[in-house]
Amino acid sequence: MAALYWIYANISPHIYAISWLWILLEILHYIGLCLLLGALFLMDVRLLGFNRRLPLGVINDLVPLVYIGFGLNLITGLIFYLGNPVSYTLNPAFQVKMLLILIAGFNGVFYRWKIYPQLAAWDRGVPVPLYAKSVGALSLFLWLIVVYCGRVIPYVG
Amino acid sequence: MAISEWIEATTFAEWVRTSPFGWPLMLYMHSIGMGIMLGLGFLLGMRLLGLFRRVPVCAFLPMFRLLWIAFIVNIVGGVAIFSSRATFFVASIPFLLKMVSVITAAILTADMQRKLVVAAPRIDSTGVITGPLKALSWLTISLWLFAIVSGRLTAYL
Repeated sequence: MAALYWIYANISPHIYAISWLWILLEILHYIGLCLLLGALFLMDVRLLGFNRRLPLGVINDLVPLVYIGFGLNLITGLIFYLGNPVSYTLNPAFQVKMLLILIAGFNGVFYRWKIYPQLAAWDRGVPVPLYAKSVGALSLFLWLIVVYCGRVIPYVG
Repeated sequence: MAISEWIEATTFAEWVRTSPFGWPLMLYMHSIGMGIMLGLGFLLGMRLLGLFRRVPVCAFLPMFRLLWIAFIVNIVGGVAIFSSRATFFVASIPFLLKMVSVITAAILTADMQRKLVVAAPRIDSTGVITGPLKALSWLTISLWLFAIVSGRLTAYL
C-alpha cells in the first residue's frame, strides 16, 4: 500500500493537473471499448455457430483490432489507475473487473493455442466442437461483465 | 412547467436518479449498446474502406440485427439518463450536437444497410467498392466518433 500512496502523492497530481487529459482518456477508452467489442462480437458469435456467411478461417483476421482496442483501454486504464491508485485498488468492482480481464486473457490464449489452428478445418464441414463454442460464449459473457464492472466502479466501494 | 421539468419529475426519472441500481444500470445499458453498435459499425466501415479484405461484406448483413438491438439498448439507457437530468441536457450544447450526430449516423447506417443488401454480393465477387459507399463509410465513422466525443464533453462542459 505504501507504493500506492507514493504514486498518489507524487504521480496522481500530475495527471489531474492537465485539465483536458481525463476527458481525452475517457474518449479513447470508449473508442477502445468499441473496437474490442465489435471485433469480439463478430468472432464469438461465429464461434457459437451463428452468421455462417462469415468463414471461420478468416475470423482471426479481426484479432489485430482486438489488440488495438485492448491496447487503447490498457494504456488509458493504466493512467486512470495512476490517477487514484489507492481508491481503485480497494474498489470491489475494479478488483472483479481485473480478475475477469485476466480470465478473458487466458481464454484468449486458449483460443490461440487450441482453436485458431483448427478454424480452417471447421470451414470444411468438420463440426465445431463444444469447447470452441464454450470459448466464444465465455468471451462474450466475460466482456459484458467487464464493461458492467467498469461502469459501476464509481458507485461501489 | 417546461416539458424537460415534467420529464425530470416523473417517477421513472426519480428512480433513475435515486435508486442505487437505476443510474449505474442505465449507464451500463447505454455503454454496452454503444460499444456493440459502434464496434460493429466501425468494423463494417473499415471493411468498406478496404481493410480486412478476406472478411466477406455479406457476413455483415446478419449482424445488422444485432447492431440495431444494441442501438435500442443504447437508446433505452440514454432516454433513462436523459430523463433523470432533462433540464440539464436540453441546455447542453455538446448534448444537442451529440443528438444531431447520433440521429444522422443512425440514418446513414440504415441507408448503408439498404445499399449493402444489393451491393454486398457484388463487392464480394468483384472486390470493387464504389466511391459513394466509401464516402458513406467515412461519414458514418466520423459521425459516430463525433458522437462519442460530444457525449463525453456533455459530462464536462
